[in-house]
Amino acid sequence: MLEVVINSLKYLGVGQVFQARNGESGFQQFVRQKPDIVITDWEMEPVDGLELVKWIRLDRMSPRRTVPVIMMTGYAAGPRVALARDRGITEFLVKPFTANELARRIAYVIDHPRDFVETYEFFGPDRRRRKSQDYQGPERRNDE
Amino acid sequence: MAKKDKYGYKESLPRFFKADVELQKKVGTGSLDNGSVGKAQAYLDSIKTDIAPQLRESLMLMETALANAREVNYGREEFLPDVTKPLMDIKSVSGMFHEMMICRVSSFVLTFVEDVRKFDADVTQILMAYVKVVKTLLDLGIKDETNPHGQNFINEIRAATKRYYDKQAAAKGG
Repeated sequence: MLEVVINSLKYLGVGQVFQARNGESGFQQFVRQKPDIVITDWEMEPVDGLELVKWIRLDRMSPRRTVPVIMMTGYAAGPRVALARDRGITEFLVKPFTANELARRIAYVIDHPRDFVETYEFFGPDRRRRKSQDYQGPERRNDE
Repeated sequence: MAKKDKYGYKESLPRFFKADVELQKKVGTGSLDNGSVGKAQAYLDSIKTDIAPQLRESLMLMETALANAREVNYGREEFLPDVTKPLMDIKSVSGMFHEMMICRVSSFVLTFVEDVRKFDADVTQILMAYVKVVKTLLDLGIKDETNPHGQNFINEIRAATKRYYDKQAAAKGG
């Protein structure tokens, strides 16, 4: 599967692709290579994709905490998506995927870079994709 | 305990960071060109890897988990990963490697398993039936998701899950 993803990325014209077999070596590669985008699987051993995302977003060694992360997985249930989102992923790509779906996720994270939010228990992309005009509560963000 | 405002939020404000546009500056915007996407899809379509051994291995993992579940009174949280991981693998790999009928039935069963509130004998039965169906699809070499035999298998599984939900609803008096 890893080879399939790497070859697909090369056909899509992605310049340099660095690969790793699990979250731990993936994080080492991330620190060393500082890639523009991270694409990770969910299920990896011994360190899975969720843990990798946590390290990317929160670890002191992380060279770019706001890097776009595309989580690729066969899981598609709502609670799974929510869990990945709560760990700080940027986009979710369900397997099996087509080349077009992969290309669209990559183009999306480039075209629509997300604002980031940090609270005492979360650091990740702003979860709100739409601005609600009806919101009556307090504006809790300094810059809004 | 941290002081909370009238909306129940802790008083410390979240920090807010503007989007990082470095990558956009570097590569520009717009979708990837159709030629590249076409080449990538042609590559995906051309893959001829025999994934049957990998699928059978995942099925074996599921069977082991189901056998264990019958012997031990597993709680949902303990039991699910042993079944959902191989099931998810089967769904992903079969879909990427052109076993579309297996992918379709696996996707349906994965959705069901992720939705069930508890694990019991009925769920085990459905999962055992799923394992049997995938083995049969592999043995018969049925790949096309419109194949009538494959459709029958899916309908059987679908009917079994419907019976499960009906039984659950009846038990709750719904």
